[in-house]
Amino acid sequence: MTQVTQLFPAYKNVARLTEFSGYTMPLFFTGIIEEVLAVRGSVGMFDVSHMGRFRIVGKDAESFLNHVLTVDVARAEPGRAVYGFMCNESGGVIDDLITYKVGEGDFYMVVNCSNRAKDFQWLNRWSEGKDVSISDITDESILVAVQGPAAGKILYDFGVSEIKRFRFARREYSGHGSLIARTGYTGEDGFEILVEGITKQEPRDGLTLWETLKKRLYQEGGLEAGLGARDTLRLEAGLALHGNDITEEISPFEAGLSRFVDLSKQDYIGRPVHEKQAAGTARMLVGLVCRERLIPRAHNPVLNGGRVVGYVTSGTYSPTLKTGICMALVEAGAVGDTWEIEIRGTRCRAELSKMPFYDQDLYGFRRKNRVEVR
Amino acid sequence: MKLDKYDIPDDLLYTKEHEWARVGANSTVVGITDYAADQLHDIVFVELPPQGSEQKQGSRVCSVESVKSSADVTSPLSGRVIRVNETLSTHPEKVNQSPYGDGWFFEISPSNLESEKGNLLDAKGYAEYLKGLLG
Repeated sequence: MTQVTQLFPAYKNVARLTEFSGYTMPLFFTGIIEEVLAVRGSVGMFDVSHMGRFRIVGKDAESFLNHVLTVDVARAEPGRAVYGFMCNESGGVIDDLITYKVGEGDFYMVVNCSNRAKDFQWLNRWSEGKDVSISDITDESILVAVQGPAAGKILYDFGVSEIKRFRFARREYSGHGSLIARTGYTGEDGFEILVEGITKQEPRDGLTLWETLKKRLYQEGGLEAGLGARDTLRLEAGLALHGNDITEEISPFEAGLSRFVDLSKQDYIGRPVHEKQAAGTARMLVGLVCRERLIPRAHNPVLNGGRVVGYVTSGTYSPTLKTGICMALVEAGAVGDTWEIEIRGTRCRAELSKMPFYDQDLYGFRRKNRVEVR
Repeated sequence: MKLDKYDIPDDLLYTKEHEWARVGANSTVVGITDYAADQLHDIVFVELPPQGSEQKQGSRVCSVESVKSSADVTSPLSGRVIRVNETLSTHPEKVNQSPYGDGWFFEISPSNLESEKGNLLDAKGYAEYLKGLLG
């Protein structure tokens, strides 16, 4: 039996559905390509209520989080959303997540759907004996992502256009507590809204929010979007997916994500290994663009100078670049220019690419042609 | 005929791999079914077989790539490829738009039509098969 989110009634008859980590979710509404282009061109909206949501409160909450996370939440001001990792003792990534600091003893955390139970257990294990209480609020809240250059105009409707990237505001929505954060997983500007007190038994106010946002979205030429577009957008933006590009066996240093690891913290789980890895790792995560009319997929072998040096961790067709793109984990010493990806028996020419894969003057939150908000 | 939202033209023959064959007097046109195109959705690349190549019934001829998946196309009949739909190189979306029309893949000159035809399904047989898959 798969689960559904509280917003399932809003799209069950209109979206193409797929199973993802035990949830039946929208794969697409109109089509993956159209939805990706809508998010890059105007705005798209996603139900991401399948993602795990925790509330972490208590006198020791901050010091506890600083022990289990690679980032320093003590240095973050209240109102900050902090992206970071929860690592195991070998330095591998148990999960990547966003921690929202309301205050020293009050945090929210959003984690990957597939890691929710594991994360919850891990957090509880390390909080033993401390003044911290961790509750899983996934089934009593919803999370909607509104993403794209026009998302800021919709954010304005909530009266919070002033929030900067990776900051959040708390507002009341129809009598519910809500948290609106300028975050996302598409590379574009946008926000994610978490509304509390929405359950499967009482989803009404959540469904009203979805319908209200949908109307605004259509006014901006936007679309509802599914997990297909979400995965493609995050890969175009060079954002790692846990389970593929980062895992318990792949450390943030190998994935080129050491900027989300704060070695100046004296003590956190995984630090001794990270300290060694800071000097260099044997593998590295790279972006490759396929130069032939095939699309790289996870597990395809990657060759450098004719020799297998690694494998594709995630691959897709990029509607923005109109070609196949992928992330690959390869030997750090593989630096020759002749890259190939073996796709279903065919060796395809590939080129190393910076990530994000797209031109940042034209796409993404740093783009030059930003949409003006009143 | 139609099954759910899927078109299954009565005048074509089908494979369980979801290819269709329009058998003519001298040649047979091949493509993928409405169901197959819909399952792949967002088709972005179509690989076509070399013109003049010999194909065997049931073996891989070429492939289709959509944003999230790839699929092999097998030949419904043995024979020589006499024409390919070059339009698909630049407009792969034709397969989604018109799987039985502009989205055809290749034309084959069958070498063993009479004995191989029996291995294919008619529209009714394919609809039955699809019904089983859709549950």
